[in-house]
Amino acid sequence: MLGPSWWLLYTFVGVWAQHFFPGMDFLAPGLLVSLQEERRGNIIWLTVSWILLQEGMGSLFFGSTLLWYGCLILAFHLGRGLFSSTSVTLMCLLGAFLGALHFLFTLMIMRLEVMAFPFERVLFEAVLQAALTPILWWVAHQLYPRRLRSDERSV
Amino acid sequence: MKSQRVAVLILAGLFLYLSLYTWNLRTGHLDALSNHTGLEVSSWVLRPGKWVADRATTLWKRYVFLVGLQRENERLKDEIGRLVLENADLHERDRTVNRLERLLSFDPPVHWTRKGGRVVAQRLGPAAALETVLVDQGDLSGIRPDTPVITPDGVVGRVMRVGLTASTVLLLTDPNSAIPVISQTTRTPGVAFGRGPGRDMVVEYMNVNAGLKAGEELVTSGLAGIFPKGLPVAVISSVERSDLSLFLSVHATPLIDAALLEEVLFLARTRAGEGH
Repeated sequence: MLGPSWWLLYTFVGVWAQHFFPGMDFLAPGLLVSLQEERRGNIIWLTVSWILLQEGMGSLFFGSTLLWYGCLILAFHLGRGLFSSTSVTLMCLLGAFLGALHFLFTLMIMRLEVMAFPFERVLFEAVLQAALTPILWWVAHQLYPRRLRSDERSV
Repeated sequence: MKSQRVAVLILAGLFLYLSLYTWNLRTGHLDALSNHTGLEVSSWVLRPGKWVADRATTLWKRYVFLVGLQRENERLKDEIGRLVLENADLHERDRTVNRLERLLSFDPPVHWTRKGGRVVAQRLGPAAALETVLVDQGDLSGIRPDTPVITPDGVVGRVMRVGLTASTVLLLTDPNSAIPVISQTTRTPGVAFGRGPGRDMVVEYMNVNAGLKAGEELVTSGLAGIFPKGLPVAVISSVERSDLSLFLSVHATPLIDAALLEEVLFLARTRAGEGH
């Protein structure tokens, strides 16, 4: 029960954090922690739930968060081949990648939907996302219960 | 061999994604699913917190009052403190009652009815690219996409996405919002576009020969069929004429401040008005 409760609490806090920082994704760092520590089944239900949550909260047609989390998962798996999965360097690179993706995907989806693109605001959000992701990941990783970690489970 | 497999997987994923995206554009099933799950859950996550925050603010205010009071005469201090708190509480209630009275006394246009709602949150999450607010009324209250949203001060926007008990409202300040308007005195039609929060709106297609002046109010013209005619939208802040254009360059200040929105009214057509 500890695992689902922890993730439920994380989601609750994440949604509130997003309320105070519009345009930011506070669930993505949690997705990175789940990719590092959780079993595949748990990662799938977490990802699907968060995609539905983010898409429901958003104001674009369904699809941007699906692509955003899909690319994050792909980048994490590719990055794991070069760095340790919990390396801070990898998290900084993934943060920068997420920031760039936020700008590119918002631009792409808004162009596809023939909408005006708020350049300065999205650029600011992208920079903030890039800067905050490694910090948020570190905090979430530190707070993640020790006995749920994959290395502890294997012991 | 492994890189080929990865490339095939990426291509297959991209194909699947584009198929899903276009299928959803045509049917809207995935949007409906996310509206009835994500939008609902986020509104229910935020609502209790809002209530707790209100209570905590009240308690904190009381605490601050009490710390100051202990330094003075206990009996008088208690009495004054009680009266001050009561007064502050009554003031807050008075303001709330005033706001709600204004909402309730708003006379909806003929063939339209009103329904009140509370703003739960502003933009949420990375996919919230548009200027929106989350309001605690949804499908179960009869809210539909494109329902006009107003306050007694003026137009707020229109409903964009609807969940069961919550909905997302596109604000008139968003650059993707376009509202057909007409100037109240000179009756010059135009279309008011948002330019982002805290910025004046730009009003396009206003005839260069119109005698518009700063300070004139713009109201909805009712032409697009979404807003009823005559709702206040903005006040003209500047008018510029150009020799090269057939239209005036007009800027207007919205009558509502989206950041301060607490309660809003939804306008719905009555059955008699649906044919109009």
